[in-house]
Amino acid sequence: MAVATRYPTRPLECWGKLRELRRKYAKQAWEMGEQGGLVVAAQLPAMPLVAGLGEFARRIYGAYFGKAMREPEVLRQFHEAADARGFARGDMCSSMHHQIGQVLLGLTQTDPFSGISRPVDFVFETNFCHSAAKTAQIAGEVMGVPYFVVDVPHIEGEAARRYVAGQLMDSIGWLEEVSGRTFDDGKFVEAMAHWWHRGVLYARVGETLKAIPAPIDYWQVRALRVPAQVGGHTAEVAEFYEMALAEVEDRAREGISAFGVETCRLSHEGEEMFYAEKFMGEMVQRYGAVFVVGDTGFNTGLWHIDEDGSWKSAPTLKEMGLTLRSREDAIDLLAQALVDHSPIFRCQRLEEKPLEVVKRSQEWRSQGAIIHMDIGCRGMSAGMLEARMALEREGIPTVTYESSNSDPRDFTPSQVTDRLESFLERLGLSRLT
Amino acid sequence: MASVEAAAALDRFSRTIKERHDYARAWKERTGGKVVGYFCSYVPEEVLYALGVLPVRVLGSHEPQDLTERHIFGMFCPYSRDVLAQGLSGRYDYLDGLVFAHCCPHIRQSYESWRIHRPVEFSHLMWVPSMVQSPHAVPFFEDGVRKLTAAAEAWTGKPLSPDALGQAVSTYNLNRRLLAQLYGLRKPEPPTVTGTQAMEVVIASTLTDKAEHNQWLHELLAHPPQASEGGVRLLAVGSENDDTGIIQLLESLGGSVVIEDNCLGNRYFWDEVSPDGDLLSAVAARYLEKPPCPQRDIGPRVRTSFLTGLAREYDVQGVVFLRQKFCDPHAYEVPIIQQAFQDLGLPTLILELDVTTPYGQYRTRIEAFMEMFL
Repeated sequence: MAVATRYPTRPLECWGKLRELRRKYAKQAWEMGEQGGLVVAAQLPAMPLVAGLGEFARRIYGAYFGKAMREPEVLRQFHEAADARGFARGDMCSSMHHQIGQVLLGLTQTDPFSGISRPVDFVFETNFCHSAAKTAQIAGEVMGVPYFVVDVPHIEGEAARRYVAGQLMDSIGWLEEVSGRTFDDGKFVEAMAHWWHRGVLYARVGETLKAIPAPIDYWQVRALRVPAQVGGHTAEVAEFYEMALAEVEDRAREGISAFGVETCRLSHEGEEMFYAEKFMGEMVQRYGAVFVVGDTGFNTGLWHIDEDGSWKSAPTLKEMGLTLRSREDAIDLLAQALVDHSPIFRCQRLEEKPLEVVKRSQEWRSQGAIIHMDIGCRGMSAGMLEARMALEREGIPTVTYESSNSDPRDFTPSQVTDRLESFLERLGLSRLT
Repeated sequence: MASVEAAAALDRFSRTIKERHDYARAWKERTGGKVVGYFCSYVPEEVLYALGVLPVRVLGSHEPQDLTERHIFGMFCPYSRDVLAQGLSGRYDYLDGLVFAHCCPHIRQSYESWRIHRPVEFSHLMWVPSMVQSPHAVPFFEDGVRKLTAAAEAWTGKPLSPDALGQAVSTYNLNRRLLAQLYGLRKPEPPTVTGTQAMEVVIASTLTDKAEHNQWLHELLAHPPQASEGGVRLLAVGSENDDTGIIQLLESLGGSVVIEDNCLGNRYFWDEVSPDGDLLSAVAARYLEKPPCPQRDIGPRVRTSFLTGLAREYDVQGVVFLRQKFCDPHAYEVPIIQQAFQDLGLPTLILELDVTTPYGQYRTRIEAFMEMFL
């Protein structure tokens, strides 16, 4: 029976700033056009490059994502809009599926606050998975705006980096053409430096969870990712992660825990259920367990991944002794970041996945792995069953559950709860009193 | 109606598919060469063939199986699970190597689990660019072709000579030309070759020594079938599909599949390698310049115009989508391409395949579809 050791805890202070940034960028996504800036639709654009054109905001295809995840009936309508057009729900990424539904309903260009039209200037996507690339194509066609997809191979090597760098370089001319603006190398270089820095800092926030007790939990790290995704090219976001890192490092030094108790450390592999964000964390907290590591929660960071599968935060530019001086410098670094240091672009490198999952679990001292077999995401689910066997071979117990990241119709809470409770009991845990 | 010679020639292709494992084993014994299995039509076979290796496409068995559940998620396409089952069951135990050209995460998982649990002497993974329109795509893929060449040279202990590569390119190009001639026989009304027969000939090409296949093709084309029964002229658009049964079913219910678009049909042999200049570059260029699969159509769409062009060229009356369940690359494009056909006034039918699904359930839908043409 695990002992429920008590630790001090306190709320995370940077939470307020996080909320402020989230609000600011959410507002910008709708108002940027009228403020003279550009609006780019994308899931995961090469943000620093767009910054070379000046002020811009990124809007995802499913611009009503938050509302949809809070209101299952609304989400269902978006899925049904895609179904009605013939996009097969069970055969596609469930996140892209409802986002395509929103594109078809015209919502990507309709301000949710005023109901008026707020156009997108262009689609600029990276092929971090084929679902995103194919959705970019559909979104561009349906909205009648130009689109460009940068193909990023899920394979290592100099040739892959050159291929990506070549496309990134070509995209500059395209960006100028479709925006009618002149690309400013200085702005790009500056944005690239910020973007790299925020990625390193985010990864370092994740690394602090190696401490016992973990200063915050994995889902809190994940919640911190939003500014990095929407404004990661800006100085203010890089500064936010400086602040967040300093705070979690202080917590780790002082032994401040995420929730006051840590009976067991867990990893979560696979995408989260966006419509039930709190389900997993709260479920295990009832047993005093804490999630300390996982793939999607950490993949906003920039990591150096060793051949033995070990994840370490990537070095800062200063630590590398690197000063970006030109467009070419920044392009090379961006290509390197996408091919080598961004885990989401490695999710189909299946030959490396089991090793990395095991190594991460060991280094973060996880005592059990909960694996999401995501009906709605082939990329993240690929390799998971081999990773599961690798974990078991290393003596790390595992359990899988099935649902999809963006369709609650694929989620049966009672069944998942049953599986997880049995698993937690197998780990020797019991409900906290 | 097929002449005796044509029937015998066609039967050889059909038998080769059924007896593919025996064929490969016999080839090995006869030549002393190595056999490599591959999963996708983007593997540059010429390089392996030039080194004396026989590349054979790994196919499923269309039988129920329970070997893959521990390795591959049930929501991955049935084709990927079926081919992995073949590997895990030991049916391909004669393979000396596996080569995988990244087509999708589904098949990559099959390759990876096979490699882990049924190790082979030689395994090699190469990336295939998706943005084939990019000027950087061919140089990148060429780098992959050169890496495959170097790895295969090290494995076989033979250097790749320009003459051997030239000969291999020539043999493969001849095969493509002969298959194109065969496809020409599908253009008249009624076509002289049925969709099922054409599919068997192409699938057999993926399983046999190309020089031998060329010989068989010469013999078939010297005595081609006179005419088929014909029927409603159909284009079959699909995911990876080694399922001749579904084509037979379509043709038994009044359809005549006069052209298809899939990687075990036209996309396997369309376009030749240019014999000029650096041959490895030319090989790389051919694979990226041939009609793309949906996974490689992420820029301004090319598949829509290619497919509507095929429909016109082969004078089709209707289009049947044969989509593997859970195949997401195709799922993203079916509604778009379906609309393009409907805009041309061509009726469409979507059938979702699972490798072990009994055909009976498709029968009613196909019959209803065929009634549209009465």
